[in-house]
Amino acid sequence: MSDNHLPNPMISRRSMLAKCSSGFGLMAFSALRSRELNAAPMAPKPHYQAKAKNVILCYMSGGFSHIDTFDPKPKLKSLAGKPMPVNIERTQFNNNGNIFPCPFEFKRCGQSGIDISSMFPKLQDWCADDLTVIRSMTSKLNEHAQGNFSFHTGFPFIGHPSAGAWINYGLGNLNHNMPGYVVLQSGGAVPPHGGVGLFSNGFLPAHHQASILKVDAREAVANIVPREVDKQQQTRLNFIETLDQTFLKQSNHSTQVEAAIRNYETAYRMQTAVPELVDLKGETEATKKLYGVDDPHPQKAAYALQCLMARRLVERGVRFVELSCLTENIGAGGAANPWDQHGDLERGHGAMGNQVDQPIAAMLVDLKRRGLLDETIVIFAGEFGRTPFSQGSNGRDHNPFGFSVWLAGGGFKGGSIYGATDEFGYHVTDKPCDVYDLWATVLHQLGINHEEHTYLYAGRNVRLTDVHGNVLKDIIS
Amino acid sequence: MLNNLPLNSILLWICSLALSLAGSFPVSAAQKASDIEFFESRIRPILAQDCYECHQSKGPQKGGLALDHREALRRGGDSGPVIVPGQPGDSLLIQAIHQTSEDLQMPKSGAKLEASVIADFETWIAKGAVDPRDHPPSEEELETDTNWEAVMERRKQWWSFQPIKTVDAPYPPDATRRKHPVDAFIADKLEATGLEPSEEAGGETLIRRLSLILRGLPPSPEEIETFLADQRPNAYVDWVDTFLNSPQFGERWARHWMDWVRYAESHGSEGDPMIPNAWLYRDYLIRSLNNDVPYDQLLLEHLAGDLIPNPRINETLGLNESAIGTAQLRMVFHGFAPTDALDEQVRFTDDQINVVSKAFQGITVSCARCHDHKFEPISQKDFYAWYGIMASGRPAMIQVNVPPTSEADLRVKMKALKASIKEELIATWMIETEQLNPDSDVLMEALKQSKKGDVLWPLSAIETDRKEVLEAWKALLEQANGAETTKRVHDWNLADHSDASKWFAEGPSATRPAHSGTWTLAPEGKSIVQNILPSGTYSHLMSTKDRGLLHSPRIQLDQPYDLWLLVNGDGNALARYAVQNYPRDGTVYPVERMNGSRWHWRKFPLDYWKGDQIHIEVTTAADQPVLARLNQTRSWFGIRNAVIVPSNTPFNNRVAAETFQPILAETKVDLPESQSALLAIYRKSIFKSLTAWKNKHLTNAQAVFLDAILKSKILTNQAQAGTSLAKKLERWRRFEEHLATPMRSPGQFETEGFDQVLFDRGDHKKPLDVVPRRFLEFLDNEPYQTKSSGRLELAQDMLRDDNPLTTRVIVNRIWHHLFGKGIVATPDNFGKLGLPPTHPELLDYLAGHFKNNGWSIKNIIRFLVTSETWKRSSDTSDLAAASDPDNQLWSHYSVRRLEAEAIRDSLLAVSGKLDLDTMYGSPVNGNSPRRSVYLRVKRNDLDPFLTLFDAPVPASTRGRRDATNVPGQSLSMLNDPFVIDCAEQWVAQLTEKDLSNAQSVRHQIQSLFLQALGRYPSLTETIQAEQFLKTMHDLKESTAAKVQTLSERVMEVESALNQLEETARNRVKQSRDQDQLKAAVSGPTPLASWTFSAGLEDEVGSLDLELLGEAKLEGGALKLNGRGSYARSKPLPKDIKEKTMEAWVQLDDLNQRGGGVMSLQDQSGTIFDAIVYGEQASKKWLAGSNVFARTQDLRGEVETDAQKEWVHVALRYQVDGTITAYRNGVQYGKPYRSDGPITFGANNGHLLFGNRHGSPSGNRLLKGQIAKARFYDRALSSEEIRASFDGDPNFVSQKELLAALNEAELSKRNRWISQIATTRAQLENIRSKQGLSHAWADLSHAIFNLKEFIYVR
Repeated sequence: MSDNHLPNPMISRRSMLAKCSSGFGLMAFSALRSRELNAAPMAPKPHYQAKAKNVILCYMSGGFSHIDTFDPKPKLKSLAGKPMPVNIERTQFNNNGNIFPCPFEFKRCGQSGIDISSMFPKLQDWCADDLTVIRSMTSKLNEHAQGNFSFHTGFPFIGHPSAGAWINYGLGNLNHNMPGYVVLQSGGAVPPHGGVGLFSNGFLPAHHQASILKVDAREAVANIVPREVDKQQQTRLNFIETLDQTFLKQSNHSTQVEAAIRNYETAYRMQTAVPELVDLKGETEATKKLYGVDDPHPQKAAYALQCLMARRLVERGVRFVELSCLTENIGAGGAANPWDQHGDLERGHGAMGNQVDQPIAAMLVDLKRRGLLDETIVIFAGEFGRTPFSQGSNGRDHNPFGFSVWLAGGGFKGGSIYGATDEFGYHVTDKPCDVYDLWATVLHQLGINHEEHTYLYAGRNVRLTDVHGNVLKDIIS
Repeated sequence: MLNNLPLNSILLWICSLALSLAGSFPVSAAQKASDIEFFESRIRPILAQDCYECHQSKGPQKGGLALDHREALRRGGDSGPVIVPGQPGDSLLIQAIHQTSEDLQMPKSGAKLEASVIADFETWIAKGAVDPRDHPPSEEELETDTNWEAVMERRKQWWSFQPIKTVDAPYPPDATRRKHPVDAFIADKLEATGLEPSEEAGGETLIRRLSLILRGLPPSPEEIETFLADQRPNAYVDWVDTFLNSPQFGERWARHWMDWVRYAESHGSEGDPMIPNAWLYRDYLIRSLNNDVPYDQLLLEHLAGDLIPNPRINETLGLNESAIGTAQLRMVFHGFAPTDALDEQVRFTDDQINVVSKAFQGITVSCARCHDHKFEPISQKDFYAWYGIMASGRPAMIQVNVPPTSEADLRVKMKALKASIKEELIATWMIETEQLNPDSDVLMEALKQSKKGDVLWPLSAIETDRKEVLEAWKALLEQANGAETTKRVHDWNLADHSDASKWFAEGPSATRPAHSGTWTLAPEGKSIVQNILPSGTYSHLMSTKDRGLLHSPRIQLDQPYDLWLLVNGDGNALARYAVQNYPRDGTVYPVERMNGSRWHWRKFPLDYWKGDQIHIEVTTAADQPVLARLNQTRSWFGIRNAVIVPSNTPFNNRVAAETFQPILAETKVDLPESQSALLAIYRKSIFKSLTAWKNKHLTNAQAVFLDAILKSKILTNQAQAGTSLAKKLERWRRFEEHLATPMRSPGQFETEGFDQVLFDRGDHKKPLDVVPRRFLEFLDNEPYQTKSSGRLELAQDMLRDDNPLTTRVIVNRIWHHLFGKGIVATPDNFGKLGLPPTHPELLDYLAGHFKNNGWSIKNIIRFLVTSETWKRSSDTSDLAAASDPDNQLWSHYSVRRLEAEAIRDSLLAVSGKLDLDTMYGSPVNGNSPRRSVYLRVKRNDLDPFLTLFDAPVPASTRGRRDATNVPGQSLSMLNDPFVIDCAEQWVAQLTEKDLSNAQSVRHQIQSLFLQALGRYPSLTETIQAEQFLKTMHDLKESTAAKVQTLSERVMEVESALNQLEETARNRVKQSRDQDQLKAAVSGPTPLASWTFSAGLEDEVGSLDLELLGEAKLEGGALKLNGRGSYARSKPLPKDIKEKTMEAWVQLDDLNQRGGGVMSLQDQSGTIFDAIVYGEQASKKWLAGSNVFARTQDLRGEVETDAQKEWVHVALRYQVDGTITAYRNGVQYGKPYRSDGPITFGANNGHLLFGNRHGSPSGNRLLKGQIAKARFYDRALSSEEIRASFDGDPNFVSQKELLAALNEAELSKRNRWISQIATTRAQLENIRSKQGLSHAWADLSHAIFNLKEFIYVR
């Protein structure tokens, strides 16, 4: 009996099943196994020997206060409540008060003795010697969205590729089942001001854009959950594949059509890879506890989940992971800018510190004990710092003239401090640097020369670092 | 020869001549001279212009290499010598400029040098690399060598800047094949390479290609059949015309155009505010393209449509189409409250220049912001010349409707009526004034109402609080007579013609100052007179519907200043100052919203902006570029003075004294003793004022006084029905109603043109010299002789006959969209970093053809698609595939993927969902069945489906889209509910009979293929489809059986549970005290009421609901699952201001955040008021509103019960803005005063349940159920809310129900509830993986997933 003779349900179903085993299901499976082999041609050649492979960006959206965290200014205590003795630059709210000393206690931590405030007890105890604190960051932008764009893309507006996209463009993706640039969200976190354009591929090819992974959502990635059982989907995919082959022939084996067909295999594999990624079954209770995944404070637990997920992504070869803070709804800190304490700074920063401290410290510890910290650059940064004088009575306005970020892992000098601000923490006085220097340095550690790393767009060879950027050699070990 | 060389070259030549005698290449003097000439003319300019920047002795020396004199050049750099004289092949320099090695490519980050230049270098080295430069150049020499004029001259030689050549098509040797000029050009090159073009594509392919490319939609089966059968000789051309003339052509091609100008409907950044009415521009494009408006006209309109002398008027719509074109200049990105306003201006002006130069000229002028362009003949001055042009226009809303000519008549009539009303009023008021005495009821009532500071207060208080009145009197006198000591830096009297004429105004009244005694009629309500006004500039002297726009000249803030404005207004009119044209508000950008009809001095401290440039703006509510309140159709302002004084200097505020001035003038210093004596003075003053008003010499003070008297209600300001006054008023109002409401579009307000200073290296803190406004100097560097911005001149220069860019760029863009790739493959870049044209002569031919045929876009499209080249099949010969893989010779048609919009539109079209009838209008969401061109383009929230398929981010010109492959696309096509729904809808049209009839199975398969792919399936495909159907059908049946069993089980238990509860409820009802029930207040009457046990109908009014997403009615309640499910009412029939809303709600989960229970919102979903749970703080109720505009912490208790029982929540919005919440009839937390209430206009507002914001997105959806809800168009009293809560005799609370159950019943109930939950979970699990409803839907879904569906061949 021929297959063409319809309808014999038994025969046609059997023939279909037979097709399945040699068709889409098997194809996808074999591709999964062979991903290591396929990885090589996708990775372009770095400019020089790389020290690190991955980046985890803990973005403190809203702008955390450097003088309350990593840049102690004891002088402010003695001048508390007095007017600033130096000229005050334009602030965004123009509601400037008097000198407002840090309400937290600083401690010299670890062997290195770097200063960390009581906002971060776990960073103090667990990882002070892993941090490279840059106290001399500057920015030209005084508002969130432009500051965020500038930090992420090097340009203060929408349309340019994000650093994560540039890095994937430079190094290629090591994982065929996951995007190479992932932004994590949980607990209703949203992108910083500026929106998803912050994670854009800009003018780079689209596969360099970030995928947002909502780690605690029913669908971690949009449309990742099949609406049918696997058997049905495979039947469908095999049918599509068969007909597509005819079209491929008709279109003279257009590489574009071929890529579109292959794209279904990747999508199919992602349907398995993503749920497997977000499933914590394989993690021990001790690990979960280390991060604080089950912490009673919901924002902290949600952030802890992101930190744990970041480690899992790095393990899977994802190049660039960005984490999203959650709002504690204090002092103007909304969903897009949780650190933005224009008022109620002590309570707001206290809550934000509590949210991120243990999860990030745990992530550093966990990466380290798995031998991953050496090849992973962890960045802790916001778009700007905050003023040493108050806004209103108990908040701080934006301060782009001098602020702190820190780096860990990835070949940076742990337990060190770079640059300095003045005695108020207002302006940079020593080794001023900016986001271009930061990315130039990060790219350097990844084996990329930021000046050579260009893409021809709109009549120019455009860079992540625009026409700026110096590698901060002093912070590299 | 020497004559042609600059002087210093000659000197150099003489020096080097002497030196070279000692060189290693002893050659004759004559030979030397020609070699030197060669060097000077061919080599030196290149070295200077392309290499010195990075390789000079006194500057940067990349790679340790300097190229600016002989010795350094010969020495080489870090990698050794770069030239070997006589040996070009061994010279590193030659390798570098050939750019063959990846590691060594020069010039760095620039375009490769022209082949002829490379050849020159080879010749030069071969001949010994003669180099007369024997010392590093001095600064002067360097200056000359890199002289911009010389550089520009050389760069102008680039092909795209060369004049367009008049070319004829190559002679067609084979007439049959090359009838069409395009084919002749193509064949010419093909022949030279020996490639055979492919045959004409088959009919099915051709009609599909034509339909998708011209309309963006697949052809219908009927169209395919007709096309294939059409044997008429001109059939093809006819079909082309049919498609070109379909309205869908404009919708398709407008989207291409929108890519060119980075079309956006919001400004991005923090807050991402909408660009008001941006969509008018989209509609303008669609109409223009459908009407085939010539391209030169459109280009003119895009830059200066508001300035052209004879604009295009659309009579049908009453629109000035031309003016709408300028909206593209407003689609810039704006930051939020930037502290550096000039930096922001540089950025958004750069954005405008970038788009205009790329879109219409194919070059990037904004590259020259910091320095002369690296590769093009575009100087830094060019950038600042354009900067002046762009920044001279101020961001604004411009009027684009053209009132009918009859309106002038109407206004004349209104004026006459108004004069007559005034006459009658004065007569009446004279009599009334005479009758004013201390005993008159009118006066006594008015005095009772008067508060301190009111005009009548002295009269009411003179006897009781004489001391206080005396004090106030003294203060008023002091104020009135006080000397003004403050030095005024600027002092504009907007009542004065000479001052007002220095400002810039638009609107029927705002363009000239009005005299004192000017007055306005109330357009609605009981009052007759709205205001009697002092002299000043007003927006509303005819109507409050009129728009008014008033801008000051530019003001340089060289010192810290304060700005004082004496203004009045209502309806959210706006007064502000704009810093460096920044149009948004926020933190350091304060604005004054005027609501209240009172004169006041508004102070704006300007010290913060010292050093910046500002201008003052006063506008009606809908006429601000970002802050427009478009729904506010009535609004007005008046301004009398604008004053700038040094910061914090005292400023005499005489407003209060002015009102009393007529009285003060009568009393002089002495306040009379008695009320009656003072009243006599009042009477006298009113008389005098009325007389003065009648005789048209009212003073300002009298006007203000009279206005206050009128508002104190001692004079009648209402017309008795039936009187002649009432009739006149009614007529006037009828006329007023007929005045057109202005239509506003984003645009530029033309004020004073100014020239921009050039910024040193683009640093706006380093201004250098002023650059006059002009075109690009490669074409013309004459400054524009205009006082205006120069936009019109700029557009005209683009359209000049000797500008070669404009026509080349547009015909190439059109070619690109028709063929998938341009003749210049980089349509936005005709410069050196772009790709050169594959067929330069053809490009010039087309440019000429385009211009000669009236710049008609439809004409050139028709011309191109009737060529054989366009009609060719996509079959590729092996030779072509091997020798011309990119199809640069057009031997065949290139297969390509459809654009995002065409993919989405195809899905909708094939599924039968597409709404083609609705065109134009405000943007819609992704779930709309309308064409994708109408989807909202909000920068921070772009449509995910379109973005996935490479719809561009609106950042810059995008003439060529990517066609990428990312897994998200496949996931979306496979799993996206939108795609699945399209598949379901598609087969839902197939009848049950067809699906079951074995005979018609094949027929149906064929039909599906034809609809989606434009062709019939092959026999093999048909059989494969049949097999697929069968397999899917079988898989489904086994699942369906499982679902059936489980569903039945749930229903059984549920029915038992309902019965149990119903019995208990009845017991409760019966046990209630009948008398108590009677006494209970039956509750207030709502505007709308829903009891979900009875259905979705509004029990009172017409606001029936529809269910969306997975919302459903179940167990007597509206069930909401928090995943896109909600219910929506019909639009509200009337305006809503004050209101009360209430709902009986139960939550699935107390921890959920931001669940919207009940929401009143406008159609766009941007404005809303809502009962929201757990948003700002968890587990608390709040009055939700758009970006918390009217939301504050209610400070209520944490919710603990709503998970297990019904909770009644009500929100009351009072007219003064107070918002009060109630929970179970009791006040919840504390009331507060908000900025509201705002008005939801009739037919604009609607009610939503389960959602508090527009479309079902994000995490703001309710998980729970609603039993009942009511909506009132008034603020209920606390008693009424209480009554509504517990006054319903049929309502049994959960608590009562549970209390009515005995122990056995309770345990039964609990068991059943848990059983239902478990079974439902099983069901849910199976259902979520059940797949599509029908095997046929599986097939249609599979067809959507075929690559063929989203590709065009």
